[in-house]
Amino acid sequence: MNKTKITLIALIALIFCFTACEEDEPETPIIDENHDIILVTNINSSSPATAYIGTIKDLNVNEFEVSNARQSTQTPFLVLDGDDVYALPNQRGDVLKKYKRNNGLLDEVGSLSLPSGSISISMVVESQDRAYVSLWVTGKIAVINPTTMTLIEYIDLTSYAIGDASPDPANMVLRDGKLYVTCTQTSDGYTSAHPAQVLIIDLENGNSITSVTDSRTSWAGAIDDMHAMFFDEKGDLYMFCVASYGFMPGQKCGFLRIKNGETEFDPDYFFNVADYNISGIPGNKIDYFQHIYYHENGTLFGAGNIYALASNPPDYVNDRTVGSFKVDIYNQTITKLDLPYCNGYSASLTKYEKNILWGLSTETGVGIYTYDLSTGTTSDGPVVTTQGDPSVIEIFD
Amino acid sequence: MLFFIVHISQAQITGVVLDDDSDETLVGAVIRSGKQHTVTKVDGTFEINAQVGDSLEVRFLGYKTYQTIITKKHLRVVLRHKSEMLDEINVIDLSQEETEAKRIKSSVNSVTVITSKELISRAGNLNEILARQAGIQIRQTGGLGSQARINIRGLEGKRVQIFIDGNPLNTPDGSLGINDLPLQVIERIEVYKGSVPAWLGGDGLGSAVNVVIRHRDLSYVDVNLARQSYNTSRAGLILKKSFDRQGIEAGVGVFNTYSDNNYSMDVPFQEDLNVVRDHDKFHSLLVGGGITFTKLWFDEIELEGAYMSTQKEIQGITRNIQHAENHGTTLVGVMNLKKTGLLNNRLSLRYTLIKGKIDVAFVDTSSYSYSWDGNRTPSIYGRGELGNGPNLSDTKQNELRHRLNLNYSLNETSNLNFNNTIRKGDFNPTDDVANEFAGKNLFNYPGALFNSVSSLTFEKQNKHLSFLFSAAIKHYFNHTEGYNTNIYLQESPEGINSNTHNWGYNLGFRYNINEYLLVKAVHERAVRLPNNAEIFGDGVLITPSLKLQPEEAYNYTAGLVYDRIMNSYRRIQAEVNGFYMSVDNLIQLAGNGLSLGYVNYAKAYIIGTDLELKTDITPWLCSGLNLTYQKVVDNNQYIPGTQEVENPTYGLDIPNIPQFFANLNLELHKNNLLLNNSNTRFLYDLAYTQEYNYGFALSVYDQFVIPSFLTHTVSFEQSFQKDRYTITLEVNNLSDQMVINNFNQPLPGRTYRIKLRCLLLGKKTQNHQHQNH
Repeated sequence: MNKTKITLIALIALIFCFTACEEDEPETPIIDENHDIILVTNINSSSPATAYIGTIKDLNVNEFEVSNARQSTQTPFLVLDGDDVYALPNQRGDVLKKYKRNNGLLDEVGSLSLPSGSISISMVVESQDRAYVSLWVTGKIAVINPTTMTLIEYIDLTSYAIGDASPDPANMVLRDGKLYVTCTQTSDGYTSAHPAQVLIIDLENGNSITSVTDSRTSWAGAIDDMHAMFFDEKGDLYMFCVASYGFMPGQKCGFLRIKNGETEFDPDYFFNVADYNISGIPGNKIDYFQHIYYHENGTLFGAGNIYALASNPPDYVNDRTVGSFKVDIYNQTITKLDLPYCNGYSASLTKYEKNILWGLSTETGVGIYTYDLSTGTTSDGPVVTTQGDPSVIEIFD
Repeated sequence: MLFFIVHISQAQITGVVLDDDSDETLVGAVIRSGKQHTVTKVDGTFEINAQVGDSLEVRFLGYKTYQTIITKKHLRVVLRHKSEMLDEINVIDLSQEETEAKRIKSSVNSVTVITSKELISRAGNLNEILARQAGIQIRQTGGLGSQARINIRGLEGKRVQIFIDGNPLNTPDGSLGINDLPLQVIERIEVYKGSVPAWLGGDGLGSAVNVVIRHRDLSYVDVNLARQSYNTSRAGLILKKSFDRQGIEAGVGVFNTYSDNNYSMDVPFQEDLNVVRDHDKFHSLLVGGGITFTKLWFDEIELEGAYMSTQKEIQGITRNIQHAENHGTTLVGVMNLKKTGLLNNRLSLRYTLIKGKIDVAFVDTSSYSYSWDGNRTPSIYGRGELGNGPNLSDTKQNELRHRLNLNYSLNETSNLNFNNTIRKGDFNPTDDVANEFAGKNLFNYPGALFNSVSSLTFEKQNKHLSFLFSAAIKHYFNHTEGYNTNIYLQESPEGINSNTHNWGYNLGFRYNINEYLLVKAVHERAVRLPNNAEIFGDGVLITPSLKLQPEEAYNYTAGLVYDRIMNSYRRIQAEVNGFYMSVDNLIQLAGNGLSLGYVNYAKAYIIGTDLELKTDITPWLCSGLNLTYQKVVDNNQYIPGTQEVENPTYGLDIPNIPQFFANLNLELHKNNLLLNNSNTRFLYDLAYTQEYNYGFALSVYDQFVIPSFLTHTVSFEQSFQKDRYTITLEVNNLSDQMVINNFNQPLPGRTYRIKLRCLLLGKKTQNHQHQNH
């Protein structure tokens, strides 16, 4: 009987141990420095892939570690507004997170659930109490209060859908009270058979909408790049149209323009990127730009997909098909830069001080490479190595 | 085996004591009966004052003590050395199934055996019972009928092979899972952990579940009816008639399962949103019949046929899916042949031929999409709620399989076993709706496979059977045919095929340290062949991967097994195992941002230990406890496809695999508590799983965490008239814990169950014994 009691006591003790033992809360690291650069890197070897949002002080840190970074679903987009960071969940989540830069850390200061499976592509902050989030699947623009992280209303674009329920609003820019929204008009998620389209929403006039289209190309903007539509110094609006990522025969990717003050695409301007011969790359062609960054005076930089580098069927371990290019959208030229090819989960870029920073996952290194704007030289390898493939690089003001 | 032969004599009880091996008489053996005792003389004989009906004990140094009740006046007692007595029960009897379980556990492999006694009256399902075993987790995505993967020692899914009576279960589309098997039909479940005996055939990375189907050699009727929460019901009927004189047995079974699965869940992608699952209904119907001939040239000829239909709605958790569903039918014909006693009683043969026809459909044609609050809007893709457009697919698959097993006894202590499995299959998908939507033929491309797995096993025991050595070699051949199709192609895709040859091996031993304790160890090179879906993709966004290599594993496992019967009610069983597995070429989905495909990518090692204890505490209380700790660690030092670029997750735990879990069970049982010939049981099960991540743990702010859970299940069983009638009441997850064990997919909470069973047995057949191996 004694043995019976001892056994039962031991078992009960075990149960209590299971219920009582809890891990300590993680200690918040104390870092006392301002960081200039914010990154998204993706751990693509896990299933599901996960992403981290974190900051580095500058390019002297040598390494971006994610030990203090914020975890996210794969490839979120970032929008910066002062010290505020909005992380759009993109395709694999619904919760829009708001962080605040704080001495090298990101404090979570708010969140908002977007409609389920809505796929948020772009966000524009108009003021402290008004911002716009494009919901690709839902076909609406969510108008939110970015301070309280609450929903104000929706701007419904579904009446512009062709063949399904959503015109697929993607990239957005705001100027003079008008919100410009690219519509990818896809019915299967990867191709569009319809002309490139932009909706111009007059926010100061009851959200009246003007639709402009151009049949020279298709799929206006991009769903994996928030910067595919931009204004130049003249106030002309440019957008890159991926044209079904090369999947539809006959479609040509390229740049379209809406001149300042106009509400139609410029009939005299279309930079046909698909047919442009680029020296120094296999096949001399790219079939789309994955990410672009507009620099100045008609010069932009782009990460372009070189189809000739892709195996058939694709080899997802060894294929690195994305090259780095300098583009003159005025004179319509493309020049390859001396940077290694990378995979499609990286290829991010932005400008920092005198450099264009390239987040590349290459055969020889993973991290931030540089292109020096003044000398035109590139780094031999990553100047900052990163834990994970860098899909976003942004700079705090 | 210990045995004795009796002869009739006069007056006192007389007898002779002999050595089992030499048949020589044993001098000085102590004979006791009550207060009387004596020793054997120089000729090994004895006389003792005792009567028929008295107890008798025979002891001799180095030999197993024998106890019996005297039934004759002259006895011939043959004693065995202690080292040979391992299968003997000296005080209480083990049931036949317990004895079989003990035999299986004395193999070189680490194996857990779940007997029908542990299964038959439970109101839960097979997955729940498996999940209570050491080293095993069931990774579920939802309620009844949802996908569930068996995780054994950190490996799961296709890496763990499932067998029924030694035949691989793997249906081409995974439409038939182990949980579809009714508990009624199961004799026992053997869970091989870390290594798999070669005679099971098939491929896999070192762990397997073999479900042995029950064969009763008598006529019987077995009726089961069960109801549980979430409008779930199960019904099963087995009718079996045995014609002893003709040597014919015939039986039919019908099993019906239905569930609404309408439990509430927190939507994992939304903040503070709880919904009731309202599109998760599951229905399956299984009808089977068979006839067995036992008096023909073959010891047993078994012909069976089965029809199964399933229908499963798809419950969305990222979106509110309201119309998409899967349904399918399976027709299977099976012929089993068994013959022993060939070649001077040295050779036994077992042959199985299976023909299957499987038809599965995926329906997703809704013109509407739904939000969680129920609002309906036109479909975001025009039609269809999932994927990138509508689907109305119908995939017909044909399977022809065979298994040949030959067992040849070289002598009394060694034997050879040859096993060969061949699988020939084809699949013919059609989806004209999806093709029309895509504007080209993406889906209507057939495929085929042919594979053969052969093994040769040599087993040798020493004279006293205390040492067993086993060595096996295995060959895998795999041929697949399909088309290189994906959304990028504009022309007709080219036909492609793939052939692979691979070798595996298995080396192991078992040594009985003493009567109660044995040690065993196995080293194995295991191989898992890539399947059709991995090689050929889905025709759309998952592209073909023609260069896929088989996954491979080098497994090492060692364990100690203790099994002792202490007295008339107490048996103590303990087992501890340690394991190390190095796995390479693990196949996983990868992509380039636009499309996906399967690649050989991950490399890992798994290290761990599991402990299992079972004991009777009192005549009416027994308990069991098991603990498992395992680490599955990313072993890719460099990112594959790079020139030594450091892998950021090298040395980290691979996500979504539990590390520590434990189970405890208590059983109170009492016969004749309510009525004569009644049996009352009260069972309590505790399950604990420690928190783990479903993303690599890299940051202090990681949030992709599967919380720890502790669940309690209580069950009350009352049977009457020698188990003819049984009623079971059960509450699973009594405290209504939130349970998640696969990514972020919520599982049902507290579940109430009631089960009624009626088992009417006919007369026992004496002249035939089914063999399961």
